[in-house]
Amino acid sequence: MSVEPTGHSASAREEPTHVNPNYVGIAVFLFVVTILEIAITFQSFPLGFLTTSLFILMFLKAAGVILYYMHLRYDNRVFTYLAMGGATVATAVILAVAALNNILPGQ
Amino acid sequence: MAAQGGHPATSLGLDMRKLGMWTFIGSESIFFGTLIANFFRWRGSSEGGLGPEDLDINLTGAGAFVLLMSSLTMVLALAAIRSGRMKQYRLWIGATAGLGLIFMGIQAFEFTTFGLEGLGMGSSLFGGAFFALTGFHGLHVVIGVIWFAFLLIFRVGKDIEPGEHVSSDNHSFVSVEICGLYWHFVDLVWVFIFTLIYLLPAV
Repeated sequence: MSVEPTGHSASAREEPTHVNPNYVGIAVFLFVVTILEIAITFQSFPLGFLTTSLFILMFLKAAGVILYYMHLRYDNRVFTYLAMGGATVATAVILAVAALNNILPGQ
Repeated sequence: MAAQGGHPATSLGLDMRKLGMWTFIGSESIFFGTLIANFFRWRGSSEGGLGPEDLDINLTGAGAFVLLMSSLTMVLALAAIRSGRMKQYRLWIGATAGLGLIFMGIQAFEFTTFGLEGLGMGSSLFGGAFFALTGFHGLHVVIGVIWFAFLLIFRVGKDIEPGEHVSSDNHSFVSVEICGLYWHFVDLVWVFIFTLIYLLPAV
């Protein structure tokens, strides 16, 4: 939709300004993925397929939000490191608790 | 280098407030990660009451849609203030706040329904873990809506002339940008909660 350059905090080290992504198109994508998530939940596919599909769709939605709505794709790498650092620790905590309580797949 | 509006940049050349918001988002990720881990630990402890399989996917699916749309209106508000379209900026911020209020209404309805059916913080370990996770997320939504109200009440952006294309270090623009980052993070957390807490137990 709009094509104005959007900006982020000024910095000589930051990437140059970019053209706004198609925000409405991304919203449609997120909406379709959400519908798909709900739809496959009620199907009688094998459990492994359903679980894998839901995880893939969840990460697709998260990537859409964080890369395009939060502009992390265009922004300074320092912000990516901060976000990924937190996400890595959070994932480690979830996996550790799951492993300690025998709720990982195959346990 | 000093950013416009008197906020000096960090030694990395980044706006302090934006760097602070991303640091906050990183730490909040850990916070919600622990709450999700806590839910996984106790989701099987419903003690005969309502359990994870009783969660209403259709209702929370509507909530997920509302939050995703609020992320769209938020980013449209940011694009509007960037190019000095102040009327549209205020309209999109108002719409984002409205969608946040709708989400709060959906969550209040869900919590009330569960309460009437006997599920509460103290009814079971599942209940405690569920309400701690979704309740803290709901609290973040409330804070976001209050933040939007502040943006409108204190007329953030009043220094920008209609049609003026502001630079990315403009004080008002950064104020709206960090509010937007916070709101998108709240939406992002719901993306994970919706799949991990609501959809996975139903498969």
